[in-house]
Parts: sequence; C-alpha cells; structure tokens
Amino acid sequence: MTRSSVIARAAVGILLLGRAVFAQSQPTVEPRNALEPPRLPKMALDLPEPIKEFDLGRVGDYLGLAAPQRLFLKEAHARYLKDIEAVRRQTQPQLDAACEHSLMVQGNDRRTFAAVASIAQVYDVEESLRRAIERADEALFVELESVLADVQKPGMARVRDYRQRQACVGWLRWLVRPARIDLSAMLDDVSAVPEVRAAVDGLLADYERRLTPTRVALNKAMLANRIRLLELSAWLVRDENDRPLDPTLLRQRSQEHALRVSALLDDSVRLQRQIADLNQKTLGTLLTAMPPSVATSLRNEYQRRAFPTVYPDPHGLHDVCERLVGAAASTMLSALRSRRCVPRTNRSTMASIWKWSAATVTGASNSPALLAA
Amino acid sequence: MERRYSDWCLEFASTFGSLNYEQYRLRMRELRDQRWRLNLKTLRQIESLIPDAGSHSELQSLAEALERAIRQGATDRYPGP
Repeated sequence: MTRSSVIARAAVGILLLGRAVFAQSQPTVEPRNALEPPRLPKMALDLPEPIKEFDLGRVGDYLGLAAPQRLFLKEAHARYLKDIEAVRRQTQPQLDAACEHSLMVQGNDRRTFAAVASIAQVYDVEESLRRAIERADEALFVELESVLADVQKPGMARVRDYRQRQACVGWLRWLVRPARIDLSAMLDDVSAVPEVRAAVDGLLADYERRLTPTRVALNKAMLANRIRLLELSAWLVRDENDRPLDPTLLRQRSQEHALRVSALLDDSVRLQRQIADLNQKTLGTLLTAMPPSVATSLRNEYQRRAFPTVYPDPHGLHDVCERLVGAAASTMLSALRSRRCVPRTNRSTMASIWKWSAATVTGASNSPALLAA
Repeated sequence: MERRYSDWCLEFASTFGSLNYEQYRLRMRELRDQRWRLNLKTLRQIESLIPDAGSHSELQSLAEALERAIRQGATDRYPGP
C-alpha cells in the first residue's frame, strides 16, 4: 500500500466518522411508512380552539336569538370555520418549520439561550395565529351584531366576555386548580336544564363580569412569562456566551434565580388568588339559589376540580349516613302517618341516629376539621 | 386538606419549584390517614347504634374497605407528583 493510498483511506475514514457523528447529533424522525410525510415532533402550544358549534347555543341564549337569527349565526359560523382553516393552512408550514428548527436547536437541553431564542420564534408564529383567530372571532361577532335588534345588542358584551374567557389557555396547566375554574362553564357540564340556568342567570352574569378581566389579565401574564422564565432557566446554567456556567457561579445564581422567578410570577399568583376567591364566594351563593340535586352535583364537581387530591373520597361516609337517616326518617314518618307507635326497639335507635345525624350528616363524616386543616 | 393542598399549589405557582414538597406530602398523608380512621370510628359507632347491624352488609363492606385503605395507604404514592 503506497503512502498516498494510506492518506486517502484515512481521509475517507475521518470523513465517514464525521458524517456518522453528525448524523447522530441530528434528531431523526422516522416516517410511519413510505407514503406518509415524516411526523414532526410536537411542541406544546397555547392556542385557543375556534368557536365550536356547541358555543352557538350559549350565544343564542345570551342574546335571546329568534330562530332565523340562529340560522344566520349557524351559516356565519360555517364561514368563520372556513376562514380559520384557511389561516391555519397558511400558517402551518411556518409553524412546523419554526418547531422543527427549535427542536433541533434544543437537542436534549432547552436551557440554552440559543434554544430560548428558537422557542421565542415559535411563540411569535403562535402569536400571529392567535391574533388571526381573534380577528376571525371579532368578524363573526360584527356579522352577528348586524342582525340583532336594539334590545339584543347589550347582550353582545356578555358574548364577547364568554369567548375571551374561553380563549384563555396560556399555560393553563401551571395555574392553581381553583383558578382554572369558570363556574358558568362548569354549570353547563353539570346541568343542561335551561330552567336551572335561568334561575341563577343574574348571579352568573355578575360573576362573569367580574371574572373576565381578571382571567384575561392572568392569561396575558402567563403568556408573557413563558419566554422570560425560559430565559431565567438559561441564565441559571449558562454564561453570556451560552457556555455552561462555572459550578461556583451556579450556586451563587441559584438563590437569585429563585428570587427573580418569584418576582416574575407575583402578578400571576395575585390574579390566581383573586379568581380562586371569587369562585369560592360565588359558589356559595349559587348553591343556595338552585335546586338541591343540581347544587349537590355542582358542589361535587367544583370540589373534584378544585381539590383533586382531596375529592372525591372513595371512603367517605356522607352518602351512607344520608341514606341511613333518610331510612330512619321515612320509618318514623310512615309510623306517624298510620298513627301507629314507633316500635320500642327502634325508638332509641332512631333517637340516637337523629341526635348523631345532626352533627354527622352536616359534614362530620367528611371530617371537615380535617378536610379544612 | 383543602387548605394544605391550596397552600402547596400557591407555593408552586409562586416559585415553579417543589422545595417543600416532602413536607406537604407527609402532611397530606397524615391528614388522609386521620380522616379515614375517624370515618372508621364513626362507622363503628353507627354499627353499634343499629340493633340489626349484622344485616347491614353495606356498613360491613364499607368498614372492610376502610380498613384495607388504611393498610394500603401506608405504602401508596398519595398525593402523587
């Protein structure tokens, strides 16, 4: 083997090795089969869903729409969905490219300034899509307003509030549970009976007026914080040239990082508290104003959503106590109605149950002292 | 439990960190255990108040389920991540 051929083989070897290393460093996405395009890895986006057909019923109820107006709204909504679809189709390639680029830059670590910059590009495209959806929403509302009678027009404020709250999806999974709850929407999930809603509509209208600006402000705060928080994560572990930070500096920065994060989240936590308090207060008033069966369902649903680690308690005694007391009461009532004496053996039992139930059924079996501890 | 859970959630929302998670976890487990034990005690009281408690299979199965839950709860992952 001549000297030049050895050099040539070595050069080819180095080149191949280099390619292999480069190939390993690229995120590979396997196509499902030869005919399908490769699947893009997904990035979590915070985009609202378009207005759904279900929402049209709510809009119709808020405005008291007549049948022809509802038909008009349905047709306008079909055009609205087409518009949204066109915007999506137009923006999707840009969004896919930004996501793909960002995932490549991130590799296994999104805590670099380069990664954060690439994520910011994705959020920019996302923001343009969000604005396009907002414009389409508004166009639909303007179209709807054109067919409303003067008496119906004030109802549009409530419709817009409804949509604004629905579009608040910014970092929803990072919010405390009671702050994610919209009682007005929750009632829809619990009861579809129009009379139930009508009974508490005034309360709900007032609640919605107070909830909407806080919810919108919280959404804005959460969306604005996304990039700032990522920048802080990168700042914690990287120097100004995006190189890993010296371990001694890392310890120093750790405490300051926690302070900066807290300061950044201050506003959003305040707003979350406000919403949680408003929900808690309104729930009490709502429950007293609706039929007991719906009130129980609403309370259970609220507890399940607000405190998922506490409710439902599979070993609670509330139901069984209610049944026992109910059975005792019905025996006593039927005995009284038939003017018969209550059997002596049951008398003391019932008296005990009645005495005990006063404390138990009102909540002792659910251990309020513990639940509220 | 509601208040402890809310406090923990607010702490997390303020820091996006789980510095005091272990304290929260232990307290929630303790409260849940107390709550189940109180329920079991109450159930036993109900049984003693009803003359033919033996025929109340619902009460018996509830008590058994509670005893089982207290035993199993000692090693489960509550309240979860």
